[in-house]
Amino acid sequence: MNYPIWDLPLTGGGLLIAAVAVVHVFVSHFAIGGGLFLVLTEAKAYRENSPEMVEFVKKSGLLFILITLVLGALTGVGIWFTIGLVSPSATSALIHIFVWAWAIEWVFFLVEIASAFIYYYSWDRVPRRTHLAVGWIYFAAAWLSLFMINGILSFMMTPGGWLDTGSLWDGLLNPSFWPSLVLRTCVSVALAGLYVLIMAATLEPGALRERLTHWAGKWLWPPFIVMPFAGAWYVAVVPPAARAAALAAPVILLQTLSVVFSLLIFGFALLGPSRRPASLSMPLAVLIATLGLMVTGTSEWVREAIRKPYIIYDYMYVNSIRPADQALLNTSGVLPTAKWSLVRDATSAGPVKAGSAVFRLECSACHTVYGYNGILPLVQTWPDWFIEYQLQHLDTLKGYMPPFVGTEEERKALAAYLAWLSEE
Amino acid sequence: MPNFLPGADLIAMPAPAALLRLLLIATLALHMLLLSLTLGGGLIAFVAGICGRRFKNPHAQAFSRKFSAALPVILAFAITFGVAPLLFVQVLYGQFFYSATILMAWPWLSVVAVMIVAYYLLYARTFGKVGAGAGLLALGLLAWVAFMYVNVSTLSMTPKKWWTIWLASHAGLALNLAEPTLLPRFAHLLVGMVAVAGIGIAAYGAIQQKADPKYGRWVKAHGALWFAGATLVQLAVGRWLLLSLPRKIGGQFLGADVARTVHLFTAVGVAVLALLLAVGVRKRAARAPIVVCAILIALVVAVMVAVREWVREAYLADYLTAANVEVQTTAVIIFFALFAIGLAVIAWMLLKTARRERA
Repeated sequence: MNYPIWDLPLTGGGLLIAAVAVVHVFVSHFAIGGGLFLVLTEAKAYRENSPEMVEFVKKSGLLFILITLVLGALTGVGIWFTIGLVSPSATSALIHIFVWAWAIEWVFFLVEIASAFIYYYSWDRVPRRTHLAVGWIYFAAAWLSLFMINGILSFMMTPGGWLDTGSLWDGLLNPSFWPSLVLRTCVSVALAGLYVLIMAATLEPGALRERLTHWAGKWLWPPFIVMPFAGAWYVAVVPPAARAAALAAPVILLQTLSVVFSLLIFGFALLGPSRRPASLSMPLAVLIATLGLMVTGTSEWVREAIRKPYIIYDYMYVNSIRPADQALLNTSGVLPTAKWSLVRDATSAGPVKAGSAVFRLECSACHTVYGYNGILPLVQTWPDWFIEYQLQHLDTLKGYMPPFVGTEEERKALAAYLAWLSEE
Repeated sequence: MPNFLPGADLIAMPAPAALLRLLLIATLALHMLLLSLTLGGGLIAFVAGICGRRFKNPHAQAFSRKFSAALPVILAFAITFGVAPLLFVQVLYGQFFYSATILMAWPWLSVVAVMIVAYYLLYARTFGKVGAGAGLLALGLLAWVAFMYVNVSTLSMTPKKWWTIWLASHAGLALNLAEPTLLPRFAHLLVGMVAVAGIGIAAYGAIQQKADPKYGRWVKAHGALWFAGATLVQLAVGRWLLLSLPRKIGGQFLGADVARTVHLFTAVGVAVLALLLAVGVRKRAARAPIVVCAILIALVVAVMVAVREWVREAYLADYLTAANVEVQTTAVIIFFALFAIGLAVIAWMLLKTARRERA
C-alpha cells in the first residue's frame, strides 16, 4: 500500500528473488563449512606431515576466496537489493527491527573478510600455529555471521514473543532459531564435504586423492545423522498452519525431492567415493555437488512456501498488507489507501480498470498475469460466480493465500477483471 | 506533501537519529576512502603501467604491478564498508530510498551483476589471465556502479519527480538523467576519488621510502602530482556542483547557514593547504609531511560526507517527519563492544603476520 510496485510480467518478484537467493544460500553456507574444512585439513596435513596435502589446502583456499568473497558477498547484497525492490515494506520492517543485529553481523563479516585474506596471503610466512589460529578466526566469524542472519530468517517464520513485546531479542532468538541454526550448520558442513570431493577430483589419481576422498566422506556423516532430527525439531516449532501447508501437493513434492536428492548425495558419497575412493571421478563429484545445489534450492523453496500467506508470520502478508490493517481497509478500501495506485476508487474508473489496479496491489506479489504463476491459466475455466466465491473465501479455501482485503466494490471489480482476462 | 509519498515505517527507529546519522557518515567516509583507492588508484596504476612501459620507467611499472595486485583486496573492503551506510540509510530514509530504487529497479539491480564482473576482472588481472584493457574495463564498470548510486541518491531526494516517472512506466527502467546536479555530482565523485587516491598513493610511497628510497620517492612524487592536479580540477567541479544545487539549498553553504558554510569552506581550505604542502614537499626526502597531507584529506572527506548529508536533509526538509524512537540500548552496547573486539582481532592478525614478515 505504501510503495510503487515494480512490473515483472514474466517472472514476478518471487522468482527473481529465488534466482538470486538459491545461489547465495548455496555459496554462503559453503563459505562457513569450507572455512572449517580448510583449517581442519591444514591441521590434518601437519599432523600427518603431508606437504602435498598442505599444497592441496593452499590451492583450495584460492578457489574458496574467489567463490565466497566475490560471489557469496555480492549475491548477499543482491538479495538485499532484490527484496527491497520486490517487498519494500517487509524489508523496511526487518531493517527497523534488526538494524543492530545487521550491524553486529556486519562486524562478523568484516572480521571474516579480513581473516580470509590474511589466511590466504600468510601461507608460509607465519608459524603454523598462527596460521591455524587465523583459519579458526575465519570460521568463527563466518559461523557467527550465520548465527545472526539465521535469527532474522527464522524470525520471518516464527516471530514468537516479538509480536507482543517488540523486543529485538525475542525476535532474534525466536522459536525456530535453534533448529534452524542446527540445520544450517549441518548444511554448511555437508557442502564442505562436497567441495572436498570436487577439489580431490582435480588431483592426479593416487594416495592423496584417495585419502582426501575418504576424508570428504567423513564430512557427510554428521549432517546425515543430525539433519533428520533437526528437521523434525524445526517442523515441530513452526506454526500449525505452516505444517499443514507443508502437506499441500506442490510443497510436498518439493520436500520429497529435497529428501531424495539428500539421500542420493549420501548414497553416492558414502557408498561410492567414501568406501572406494579410487572410484571418484570429476563427473561424479560435479553430479553430487549439483544435487547439493538442488537440495539447497528445493529446501529454501519449501521454507518460503510454507510461510505463506505471510512474509513475516502473523505480522505482514506476502502482499505487504498487515493483518492489523485489514478491518480498516475493508471499510475504507485499498484503492483510496494505496499511495501508488492510478485508480483511486472502485466505481468511477469502471470495474475492469479498477480490478486491474486491485490485482496489482493485492495479487502481484505472487502472481503475474501471463507469466510465472500466471493468474490467467488458473481462472480461465472458472465461471463468474466461482471467481466471486473464491475471492470471498480466499484464505479459507487456500490456506497459503491471504484473505481478500478491501471493500465489496473492490472485490467485485477484481472479479470482473479476472473474468475479463478469461474472456480475452 | 505529495500524497504518493510513502509514510515512514510504523516500527520505531531503534536508536536516536543522530547516532544513526553519525554511523552513516563515519562508514560512508571509510567507504569513500576505500573506493577512491580502488577506482582512482586503479586509474593511476593503469596510467603508470602504460607510461612505465613506454618510457621504460621501472618504478612506474613496479608501482602499477603492485597496486593492481592489491586492488581486489581493497575492493573487498570498499564493498564491506559500503554495506554499512546502506543499512543506516534504510533506517533513516527508507521511504525515499526504496521508492527511488523501485523506479530505477533494473539499472539499480545491474549494480550487483556489474560488481561481480568487475571484481572477477580485477582478480583475473592480478593473476595475469587478462590484459591491462580488462583492468580498465573493470574500472569502467565500477564507474557505472558509482553512476547508479548518484542516480539513486539524487532521485531519492527529489520525490516531486517520482509520479511523472511512475506514470511513464512501471517497468523500473528510469534513470535520473534530467537532474541538474547529476553530472556535477558524478564528476565531483570521480575527480575526488582520483585526488584522494593520489595522496593515498603518495603516503604509501613515503612509507615505502624506508625500504626502497628511490622507488618510494618516485611513488610519493607521482601520487602527489595526481593529487595536486585532481584537487585543482575539483575546485572547479565543486563550484559547479554548489551552483547547480537549488538556490535555497546551495545558499545554506554560501552564508545563509553559518555553521554549514564554515564546515564546507574549512574543508576546502584544508584541501588547498594540503595541495600546496604536497606540491612543495613532493620531491624532498622528508616523509612525514605527505603522511600529514593524507590524514588531512581523510578528514576533508569525512567533512564532505557530512556536507552531503546536510544537502540531503535540506532536500528532504519538507518531507521528513519526527520518527518514533525506541532505543535498543543493550543491542547498541553489544554492537560497539563487538566492533571494538572485531577491530582488535583484525589488528592482532595483522600484527602477527606483519611482525613475522619483518623477522
